[in-house]
Amino acid sequence: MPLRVTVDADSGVAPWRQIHDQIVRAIGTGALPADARLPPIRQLARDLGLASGTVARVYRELEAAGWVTTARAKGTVVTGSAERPDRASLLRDAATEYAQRVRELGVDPKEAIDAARAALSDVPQDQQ
Amino acid sequence: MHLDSAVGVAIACGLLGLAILFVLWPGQRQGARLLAKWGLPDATPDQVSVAVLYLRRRRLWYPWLFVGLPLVPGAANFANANNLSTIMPVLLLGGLIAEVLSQRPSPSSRREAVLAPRGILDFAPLWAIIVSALAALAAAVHLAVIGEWPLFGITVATTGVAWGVVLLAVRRPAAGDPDVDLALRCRSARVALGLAAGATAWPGGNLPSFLAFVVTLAAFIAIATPPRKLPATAAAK
Repeated sequence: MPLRVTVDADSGVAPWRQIHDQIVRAIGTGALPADARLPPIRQLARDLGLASGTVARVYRELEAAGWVTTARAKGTVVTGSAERPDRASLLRDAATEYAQRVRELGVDPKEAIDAARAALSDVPQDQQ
Repeated sequence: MHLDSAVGVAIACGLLGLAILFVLWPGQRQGARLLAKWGLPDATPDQVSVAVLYLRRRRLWYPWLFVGLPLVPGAANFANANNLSTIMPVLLLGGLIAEVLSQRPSPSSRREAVLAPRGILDFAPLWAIIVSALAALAAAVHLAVIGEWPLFGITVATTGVAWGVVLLAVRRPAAGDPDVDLALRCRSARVALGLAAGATAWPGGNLPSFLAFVVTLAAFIAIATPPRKLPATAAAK
C-alpha cells in the first residue's frame, strides 16, 4: 500500500506539525526507507490544499533534524540511518517538549508522569 | 439567422442535449464496469462512487459540447468540408473540463496525499507517449508541407488539449483510495494520449493516406485500451 499522509483541519494541531510527525513516524518505523523520495513541495501542498510555505516548513524542519536531505537533482530523499538522529536524542527531544507543555499547563510532575504512562498504555504497540 | 429561428434552434439543441445527458448519465453499474476494465474487478462501493463522480464530471459536458460545437460560426461547414468528426473534440474538451474541475482540493476538512512523487510515466507507458507524439508530429508536418493550415491548426490544438488532459490528470489531488486513484489517472492519461493520436487520423483518397489512417487508428486503440495489469507506480507501491 502506498504511504499516505493525512491532514485534519479540525484536529487543533498545526497542519505542518501533523505532516511532520507522520513523516518522522514513517521513517522511524521503516515505512519510508532510506533513499525514498518525498513528493515535491508543490505536489504535496496541492494535494493537501495547503500553502507551499507550509509544506516547505515541514521539509526544512525534517532536513534540520537530519531525517531528509534535499539535492537539486534527486529532490528530497530520506537519509540513511547513520545520518539520522539517534533514538536517545529523539526521546530526549520528545520528553523536553512534553515537559515544556506540562510546565505551561502548570500540572504537577507526578500527575504528568501518570498521564504519560496512561498514554503509553493506550497507544497501540504498532504506533510506538 | 432570425431571432425566432435562433431561439428555436437553441431550444431544440437544449432538449437534444438533455436527452443525451439522460441516456449517458452514469450510475453505480457504469462506475463498477469502468473500474473492472481498468484493473479493479471487485471494486468496493466507495471506489465505485469515486468512479461514478469521475464519469459524471465528463459526461455532464458531452451533450452540451456535442450540440454546441457545431453552432460555433463556421465550425459545421469546416468540419463537413474536411470530413472531421465532432466526437473527438467533444471527448477531449469534456475530459479537459473535468480535469480542470478536479484540480480543486477536497472540500473535506480531512485530506490525504500519497508520500511519493508522481509523473506521467507512472500512468502511461513510454511507448504510448512516443507513439502519440509521433502521430501528432507526422500529421502536423504532413499538413504543413501540403499547406493545409486550418487542419494543421486543428491538429496542434487537439494535441495541446490532449496533453493538457494528461498533465492535469497527473497534477490533480488524489481521488479515493490509491487503487481507484491509479486506475482513474491511468484511464485519463491513456485515453487522452489515444485521442491525440486518433484525432490525426483522416481517411484519404489514396493508398498511403488510407494506410496512415489504419496505422493511426491502430495506435489509438492500442494506447486507449486498458492494459492487462496497471503499472505498479510509486503512488501505488
